[in-house]
Amino acid sequence: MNRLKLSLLLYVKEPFSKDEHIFDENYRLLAVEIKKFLETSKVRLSLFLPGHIIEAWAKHCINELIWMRGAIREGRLEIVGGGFYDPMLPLFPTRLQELQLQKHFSVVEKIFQAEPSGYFNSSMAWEIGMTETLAKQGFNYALVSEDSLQESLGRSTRVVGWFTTEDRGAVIRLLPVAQDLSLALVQDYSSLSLKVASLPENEKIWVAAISVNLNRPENLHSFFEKLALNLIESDFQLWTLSHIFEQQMSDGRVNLLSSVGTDLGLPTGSHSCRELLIRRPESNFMHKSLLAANRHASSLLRGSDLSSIQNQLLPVMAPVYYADLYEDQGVRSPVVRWKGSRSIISVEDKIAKMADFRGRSVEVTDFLMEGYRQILVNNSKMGFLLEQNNGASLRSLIYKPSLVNMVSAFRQNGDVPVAFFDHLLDPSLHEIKQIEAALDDGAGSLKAPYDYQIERAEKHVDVMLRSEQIANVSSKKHVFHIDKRFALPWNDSSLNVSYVLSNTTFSEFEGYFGTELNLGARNFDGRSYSLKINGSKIPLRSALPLLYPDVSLMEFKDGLLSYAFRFTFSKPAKVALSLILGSDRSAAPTLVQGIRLFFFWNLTMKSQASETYKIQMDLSRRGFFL
Amino acid sequence: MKADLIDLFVEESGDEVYIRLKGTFGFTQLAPVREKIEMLLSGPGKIWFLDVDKARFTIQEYLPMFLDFLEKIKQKEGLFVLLFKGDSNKRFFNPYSHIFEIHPSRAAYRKTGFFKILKKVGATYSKQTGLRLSPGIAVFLLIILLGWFATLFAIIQNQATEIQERDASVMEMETQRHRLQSELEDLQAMVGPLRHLGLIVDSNSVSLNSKVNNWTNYLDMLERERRAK
Repeated sequence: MNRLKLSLLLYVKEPFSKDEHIFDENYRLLAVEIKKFLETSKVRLSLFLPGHIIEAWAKHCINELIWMRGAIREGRLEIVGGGFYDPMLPLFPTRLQELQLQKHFSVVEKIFQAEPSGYFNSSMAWEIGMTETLAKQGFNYALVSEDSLQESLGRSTRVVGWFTTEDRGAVIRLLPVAQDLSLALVQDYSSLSLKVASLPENEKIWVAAISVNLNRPENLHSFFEKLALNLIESDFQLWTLSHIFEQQMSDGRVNLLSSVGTDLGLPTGSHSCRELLIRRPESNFMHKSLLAANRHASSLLRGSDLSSIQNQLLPVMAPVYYADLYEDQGVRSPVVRWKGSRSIISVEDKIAKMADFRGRSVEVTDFLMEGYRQILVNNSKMGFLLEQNNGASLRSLIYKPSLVNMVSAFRQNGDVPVAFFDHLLDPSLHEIKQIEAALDDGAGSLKAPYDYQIERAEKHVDVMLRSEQIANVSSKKHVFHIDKRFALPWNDSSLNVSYVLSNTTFSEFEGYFGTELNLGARNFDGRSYSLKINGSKIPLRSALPLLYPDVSLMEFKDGLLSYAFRFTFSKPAKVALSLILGSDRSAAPTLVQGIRLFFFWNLTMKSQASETYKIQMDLSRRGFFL
Repeated sequence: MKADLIDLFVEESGDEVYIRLKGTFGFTQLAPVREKIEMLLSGPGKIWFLDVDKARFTIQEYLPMFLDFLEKIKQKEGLFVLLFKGDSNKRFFNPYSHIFEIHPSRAAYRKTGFFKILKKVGATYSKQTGLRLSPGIAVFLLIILLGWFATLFAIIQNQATEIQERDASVMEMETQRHRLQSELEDLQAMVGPLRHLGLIVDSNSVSLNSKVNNWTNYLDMLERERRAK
């Protein structure tokens, strides 16, 4: 039996941190272990590192770096290129893709003194449209998953070797990564030998990509020891990735390839990283906010100002902000969502400052790229995205001094989070659980599209909305004419929402009218949170869910993130408060993702009668409201 | 929801209101566009920019709509500026290009000449003060003001020259005085020894006042001197 030829790529993902680019001691440990691994096992290896880890090595691991430069010159080590923040490039505009590639390319060239010729992305997100961008940057080959090549070639047998693809006059070579072999390499030797035995015998060089987990540094040493042992025991012929093209001829051409690999939380059978945007509304909103910031910068700024802003957007392209994963691995984590929103809000703020723009604007555009328009309203302190086609509800509510987007979680049923989403409910509901079930059921939700009008005044801007809404309450259909108005002062952090409801049918209506807000929140740990209703303190974790009657004032404060909001009602309202819980790695939903508020009133209306409700929302950093 | 097809952007900055329309506008969008823009124009502002560079109008009915907008802004004593640079819009607005104020961008508008700035300033201050001036009168008043300033400047200049000349003359006379004083002192020094010997009577050192105190004696003395001769 011939020795199996293998190209091994080790790749590292930058761990998520709440702070900006702190040096992690684990980076030094990684450099030491990789050097030791190369020295002791005498293997040939390819390596992909995100830009920040390379920069950290240049500052703190000079000896290891100098040794690695020597290994590169001897052909024992190859540094593979990619995005600086290892992003899923197909999701983003070409200019941002180019910046990611250029930044990583230049840092590799400067620090390792070698030009990378291959492109790698840990999610292996690949689409045919990237061919031109990669070729333009000087890459000769890209790594894709074997599954995607099998699908593209219409084969069920193993795919090994290399292929070419072309698009818009550019060509790039594709190397399939054997996922099963990659997994077997980090398991015990018996599993690996079984896997190797199952592979077809040929002269081709197999490609494996193994992730080095920096989140568990205590396992780093044993990981490299086990890998070295497996490689020695299996007696592989090891080559660097670019050596494959010197040894082998092309195995054919492929077209229309789309690939997505692992570590994104996507289910088996997913074809593209774009599916994340459909599956997770939080990812989608983050993505669209980034695109909007890039669009605003491109239309308002030029030259070095534009480049500076686009460079600040690059970290938010990291996969952690889009992956459907828990804890600090993906967008299901409130901390990840908070940091992503914070970065984009601060970039938007810088764009406004650079463009000498006071931040007073109203934009009617397809922000969410769903085929219909939304209304984006901004002043210097607040901003919101209004979906007039979804019951005139708010899809985001940003308080700029604290850099938070308050509508950042999801609804309890996993749906898109909204604020000021209105409902008409059955008057027989008395318990909080019944009300919650009715809200989740959505039978009484007023989600028909509204027609809008923008009214500008000296000190504020109003978005007036008008619609005929049909709701099913107590098995009867009711038609209401609703005038809804959002008023935002130009220089203040408050939002006035008013409703005028008219019963346009000939039958009398009796029920509840209310509005629902799904606000993101951290886990209620410690004393930084406070909730007051009519001046009385309410313990958050123990008291919720809660139904509170006759509320005229409600205050909520998060001392850690420095924001507080207060609701004042024109007529005393009933308030239903409950937690939005999500699950972490365990199946039980125990992780606090946010808080659901439902403000409602008893509504008894004769035919053609009308009723008015007003809610004022004030925001402040420290909870002092003037 | 015909209005849903309209991409609209409104930005406020001081007295300026910038409105941008994007998309292809046909018959179905005419009423909603009119309604949306009219509502925006009814708000506060002095200078209105309507950016239609990325808008394409497929029917001529939009032209009267823009003329109406211009009329409304004029009634509010504001300025209405259309912004575009594309050829299709140039052709579309060609019949009324002499009526509309058209610029490629806001930046290009700001770089236009003195009269535009004057008009802009005029529009701003007529709003604040209630005073209205036509550009011709404003220029006439400005010329008069400039004339006044020029005259005042010329007078000041003349006076300054005269003062300088007088200063020079005073200085010259002062120098001359010093020179004569010095010469006098030299001469006194030369005749000093003779005077000590009593050969010369210094007429200067003799007080004339003592002689002329008694005019009779003085006249007697003169008579005696004459007879002695």
